Amino acid sequence: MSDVLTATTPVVLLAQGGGHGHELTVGVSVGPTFLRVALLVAVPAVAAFAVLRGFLAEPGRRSLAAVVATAGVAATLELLLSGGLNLSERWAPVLFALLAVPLYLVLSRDERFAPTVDRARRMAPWVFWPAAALAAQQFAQAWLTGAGPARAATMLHTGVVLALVAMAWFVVSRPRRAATTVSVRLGAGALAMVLIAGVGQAMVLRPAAPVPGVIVAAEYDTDDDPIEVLVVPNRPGNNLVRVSGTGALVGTSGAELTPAWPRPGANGAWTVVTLPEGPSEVLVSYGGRTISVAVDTGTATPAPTGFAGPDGAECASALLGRAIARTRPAPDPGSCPDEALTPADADSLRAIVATLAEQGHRWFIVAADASPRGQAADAVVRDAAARLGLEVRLAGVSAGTGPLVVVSGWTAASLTLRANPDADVRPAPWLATEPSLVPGLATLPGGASVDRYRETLREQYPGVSPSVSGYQAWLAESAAGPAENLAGPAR
Amino acid sequence: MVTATGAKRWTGRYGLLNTRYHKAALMVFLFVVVAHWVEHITQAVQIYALGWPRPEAGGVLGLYFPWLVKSEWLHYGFAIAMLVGFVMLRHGFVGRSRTWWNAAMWIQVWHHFEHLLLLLQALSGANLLGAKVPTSIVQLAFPRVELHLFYNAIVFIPMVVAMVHHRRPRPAEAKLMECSCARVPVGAGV
Repeated sequence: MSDVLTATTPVVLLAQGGGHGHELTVGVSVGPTFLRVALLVAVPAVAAFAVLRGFLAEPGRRSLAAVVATAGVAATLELLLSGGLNLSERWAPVLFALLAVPLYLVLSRDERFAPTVDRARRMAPWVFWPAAALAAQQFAQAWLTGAGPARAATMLHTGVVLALVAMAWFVVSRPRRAATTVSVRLGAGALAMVLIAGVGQAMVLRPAAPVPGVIVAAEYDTDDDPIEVLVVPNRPGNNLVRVSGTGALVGTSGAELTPAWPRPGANGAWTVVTLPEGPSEVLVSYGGRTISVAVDTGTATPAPTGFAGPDGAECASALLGRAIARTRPAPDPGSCPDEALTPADADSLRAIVATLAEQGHRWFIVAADASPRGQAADAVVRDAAARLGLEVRLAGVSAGTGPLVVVSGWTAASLTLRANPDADVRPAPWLATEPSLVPGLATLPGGASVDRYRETLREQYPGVSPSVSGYQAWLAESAAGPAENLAGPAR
Repeated sequence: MVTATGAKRWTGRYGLLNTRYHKAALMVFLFVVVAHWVEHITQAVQIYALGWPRPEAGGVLGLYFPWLVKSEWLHYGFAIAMLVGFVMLRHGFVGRSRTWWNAAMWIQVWHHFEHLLLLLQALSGANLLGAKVPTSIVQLAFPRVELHLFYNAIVFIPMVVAMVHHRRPRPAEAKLMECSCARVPVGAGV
């Protein structure tokens, strides 16, 4: 039995009248929405008291208790909705204590403690002003330092909590001097305005909840440069995490962070994490901070095994190509490019062999890998060579300056190419990447179609490099017209 | 012993629960509290003595109804029942026993708030400070099993002390009592 009412509870709306109904199903996350509504009622109530206090007669005990309790409830809701504060967690009990004490000061009727209560209420401005100053500092940092959305939201939430603490102490404050009373009321009124603005923006700036199966892409501020994090395909099982910066550690628990490394053919640094079904998190340690990236893999199609293989980056590129082409948010992860040789790629390989024959070559070396695509490509190339009377020499022997047909995946191809720097390389179409696998190897061809793919990828996943595999997947998904000629020049 | 004059209502200082039926009510309350306490102790034994993994250590009820133990409603139900019991039955206590009972009651107020916070998180899906699971305030620093074992202990101990003093009141306290809980007033000389 689940206690959770949230997680895309469908809300069915029925149109009235006519003896028939039109149903509209809208996915709504109910739980946090209730809390936000409650917060957006409670905070204005507290702020309104602060603004109007100077115009009111001395409120009764119950009124004061109600306002203080409302501030406490609002602060509690903030702590539930914030996802974290710009403070150590150890401050949470202190904040609660600072919210509970004013309530006691208002409600206490014990004559034994009356002098202490009275003294505490006179000294309340000494708590109000520091809390208000700290709140103002958080708001200023959020609004004036150019912090990214995630960090700004954290600062705003922190400012709201601190402002509510300040408000609670303002409510119970009873200083003796008129000047102190006036200054505290003016300060509370100003803080109330800022509090309203801060809580409103904090509620809007919340990061989108992860959707099962939808690739997670987010940017985070760190003590160094901002970092982009990509989790592909966000399905149960092995997922690839791409981080834009170098030197990041990635994992699903603080004790098991592993370095993310660059991979041939793709920019950024990559590592494999295993995600369970449903909501979880990916931790990224970078630039002095540990970032928690919320993910939700759902319970549907598990991640293809290719994501954990040596050519996972190519698999990710293909999935991103499908993702940017589709109108639905969650592309089926499908299969990885190295699981099958497409007819178009087979034709390109035959053309490569034919070109070798036309150029007068009598032999060539083919470098394949153990993937289904690699084996199929090897067979296609050998068959074409046999038809044209070309000898296929053993793979693994140095090609020297001879022709080298490379039909393996990105990682194996990168190793082969570095081991044969002087070879006459004839790469398979899928080896055109940006950045290129080795210096001088062909990248993506030009053309309107490829440019549209590049532009769409840049808009939706800025910083992620394009590839032929991604382009082909985008083409297949979007039916965006004829493909560009992908059999580009060799090195 | 002085019974409440014409008392038909159940609650309040002269209500039946704090006068004629105060002892019975306290026995029922004690049974509920002890049963809850036994569950937590059993859970601790399962973890520390038997070496069970924490997710499997569900006390006695958890052996037969694991879903029940995972329900925040159940935990909140116990917490609110205890709090209601403390509040409703407090009027029957006087003197030293009242002081100890009030101490237990105020600790239970906080314990109840912690469970209310957990329930709210379980219902809404919004966890405290973005925690992965529902987390209470003090649980930010201490693990849940040990924390609630501690909470129940610091509520149970003053509660028992209050009951002992209530059963053995001083003569001055006995004069103020409206119920028949006292076995014999201490120093009564009878």
